[in-house]
Amino acid sequence: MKIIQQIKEQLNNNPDVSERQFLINGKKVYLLFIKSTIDKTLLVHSVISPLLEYGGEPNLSTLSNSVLRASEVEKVTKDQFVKSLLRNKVLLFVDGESDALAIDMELLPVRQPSEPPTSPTIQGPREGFTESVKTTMALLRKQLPSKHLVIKSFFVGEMSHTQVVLFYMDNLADKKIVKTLEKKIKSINTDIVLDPHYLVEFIVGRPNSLFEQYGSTEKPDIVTAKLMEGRVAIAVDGSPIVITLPFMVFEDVQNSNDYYTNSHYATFIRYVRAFGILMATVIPGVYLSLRLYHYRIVPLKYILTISATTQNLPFTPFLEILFILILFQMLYEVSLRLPRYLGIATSIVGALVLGDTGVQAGLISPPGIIVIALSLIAVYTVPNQAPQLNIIRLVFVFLGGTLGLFGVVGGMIYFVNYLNSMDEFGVPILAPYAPRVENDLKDALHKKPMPKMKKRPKSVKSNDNIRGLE
Amino acid sequence: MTQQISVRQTACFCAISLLALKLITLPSLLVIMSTSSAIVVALIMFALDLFLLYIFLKVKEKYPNLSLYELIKKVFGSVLAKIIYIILFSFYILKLVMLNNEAIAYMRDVVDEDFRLIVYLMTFLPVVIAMVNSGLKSTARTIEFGFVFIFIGLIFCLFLSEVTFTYGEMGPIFKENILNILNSCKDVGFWFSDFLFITIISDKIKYKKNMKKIIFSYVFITLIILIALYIIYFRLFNVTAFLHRSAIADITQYNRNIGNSGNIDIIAILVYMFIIFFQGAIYFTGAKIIFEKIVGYDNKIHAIIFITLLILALQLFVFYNLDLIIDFVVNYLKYFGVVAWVIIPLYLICLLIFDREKGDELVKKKSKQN
Repeated sequence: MKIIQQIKEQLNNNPDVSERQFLINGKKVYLLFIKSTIDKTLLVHSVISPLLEYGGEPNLSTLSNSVLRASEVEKVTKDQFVKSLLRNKVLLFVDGESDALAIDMELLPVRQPSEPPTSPTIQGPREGFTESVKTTMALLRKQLPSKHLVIKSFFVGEMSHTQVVLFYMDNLADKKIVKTLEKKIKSINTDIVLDPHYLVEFIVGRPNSLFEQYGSTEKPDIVTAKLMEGRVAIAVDGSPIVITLPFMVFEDVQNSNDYYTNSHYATFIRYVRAFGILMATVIPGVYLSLRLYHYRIVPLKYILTISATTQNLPFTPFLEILFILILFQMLYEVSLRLPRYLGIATSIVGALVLGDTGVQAGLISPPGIIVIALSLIAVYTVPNQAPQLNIIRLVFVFLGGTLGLFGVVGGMIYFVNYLNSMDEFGVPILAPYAPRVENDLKDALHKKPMPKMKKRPKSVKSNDNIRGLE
Repeated sequence: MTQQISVRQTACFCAISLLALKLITLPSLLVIMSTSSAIVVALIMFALDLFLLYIFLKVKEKYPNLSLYELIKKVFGSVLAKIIYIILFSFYILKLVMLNNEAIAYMRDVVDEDFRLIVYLMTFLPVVIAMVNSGLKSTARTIEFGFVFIFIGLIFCLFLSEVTFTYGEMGPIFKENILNILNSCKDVGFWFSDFLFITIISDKIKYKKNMKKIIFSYVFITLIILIALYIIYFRLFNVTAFLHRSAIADITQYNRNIGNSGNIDIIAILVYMFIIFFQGAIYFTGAKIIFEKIVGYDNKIHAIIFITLLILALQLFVFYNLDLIIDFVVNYLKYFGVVAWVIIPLYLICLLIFDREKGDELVKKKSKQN
């Protein structure tokens, strides 16, 4: 058949594009498919066997309505042939008909849902999304069997035609936000989309910003909870990450574990995380400023300890801290990239050689190492914020080393003000503290027991503020 | 984003304004001027400030969508409104310069004796300019966010100072005659009258029914802490107060338990640093809004550049140390202060009493005319 040859040529005569021909009641019927992406067993049972058993006159409508045992069959025209084939459909042609049937037989390599390595749970659901957007949909449907759940699909990427799926609750989500997101997704002009992070920079208001303007997770329970607060979720086929919008910084201080444990403990641990952010960013800068400029406000005994351990160092305090910081950051990066067994060896070499021996050789001081180690560990109290916190820490080291404590305080105010100037989708990123939203304080740093959280967060515009009413 | 701020954010503005210029040199200045009656002068000025705040809030209630400029223009026309605004502009610029000088003196006194003006300006100006440039709304949010820490820090300073204080030794406080007290009030007027800022941004504050209650509760609580700190300061240093020009730092440093707790006056230092930036942003915003009204068009970049250059010029070439600006303010600026203290409040009171027209109707009329 001529059209089949044309399609094959359009697909570069790739070896995984297969064709099968049948003669039914004197009329030729063709199947065309990409064999690496379809379920062959299903093809035999649902399409080939029924066709061979069929003795009547073959035409597309009869085959579709009475012969094929496939769940999804649709009639496609000539201009959709290649697109359907690339979306893992089997094309069925009947000699003499210009259209074809596209039969869904997709079978792609997919892993089973398992606990995501980025957000392990102590108590609570352990399921995580996989790279298949169908699994994402299934897991969300399982968590949220509601008639209000809306799932909208888009195909983005000139080359990849990646499926992008938008989830929201039609009775809760702000329609303006949904419309804006739909419009932005439709207008994305790019070759390929491999992950939601590819989309984010097209969607958020300040793509150049250092700070994250979206929430991201691999866990269905988190996405479900956020959908129930009126947020919108975006999943991309090929990635287990789902992003949620609008976003507030304090979402990252919260963790799914907080909702599966005592609310007092959740409150305590959230304050620890918030303190962790402060430690991670400003501690090296403050240490440096106290050591360089404001030693008068450091207790005498501590000054003596520091001076005893730093007097023979070849570097200035500023260079020393910068040196340790870069060293630790390199070690961290190496331990991430290397195979696991080599990573452990690198950590030992780093800890022993660069830490202990460095101190004994008089290159770096113990207080410097403690301060940097403390700061690096503290970053992972809020892992989602780690990239920007690492950069901000470096900024504070420069501020503390050049302008002193006044510079550090100025830097803090600058960053807080910068965050406050971000009003993505009309939601203040530092809410519910700036501006203060009384209702939302019940689940910010402080967490009240679930029965007391009768209202949904006011910071995220929602059509229905009361929880529990269908 | 729309540049309207909430009542709570306005309350934070008021509370911060109450603190900035009153925690460093003012207490020692009050003692120099009126010795043991310093607390009386302070109390009179606080009471006067509260009264003015009440008037300003009543005006906001009556004319929710009008700022001071429109209120003056309404009766006297734009020429007089601009003249008054030029006086207010110089008032705010000088307040900024005073804040800078106090902050530098404080940093040298408490944090680092080699602290340089250039380091201060390199830190202060970019941060404050960034705040002003990002708009009133984000500045208000930042101050609202930081206010909690400032408030906790102030309470901590109070407790830290309280342990140095012996009750029952307040001594006689009415040694000075009433005329001297009133004279002192007139001389230190520049350090007060910060609530005037509310009338300047009045049209940018979202109106709420319980506005007065929220703002006054913030102001009262802050005022109580401030007065308590003043009492401790006056009691501690008495006639030697002229030696202690960094009030908030000195009263926390003189803690008898300092040996046990270490140098925890770092909290007072941090609190004051935050206040410097926040108050700087408030003054700068005030100056920017006033400048835009004077020149008659909204261009924040022009306003920011002009104000920055003016501050740098005054700071580097005219008032390069604290004594210079204190002398100028005490000797000359008290006459300027008449505008802020007498003329504007009196005019606003007259408007409240005699103007039967409601502000909202005025706005409607204006929009119809346009």
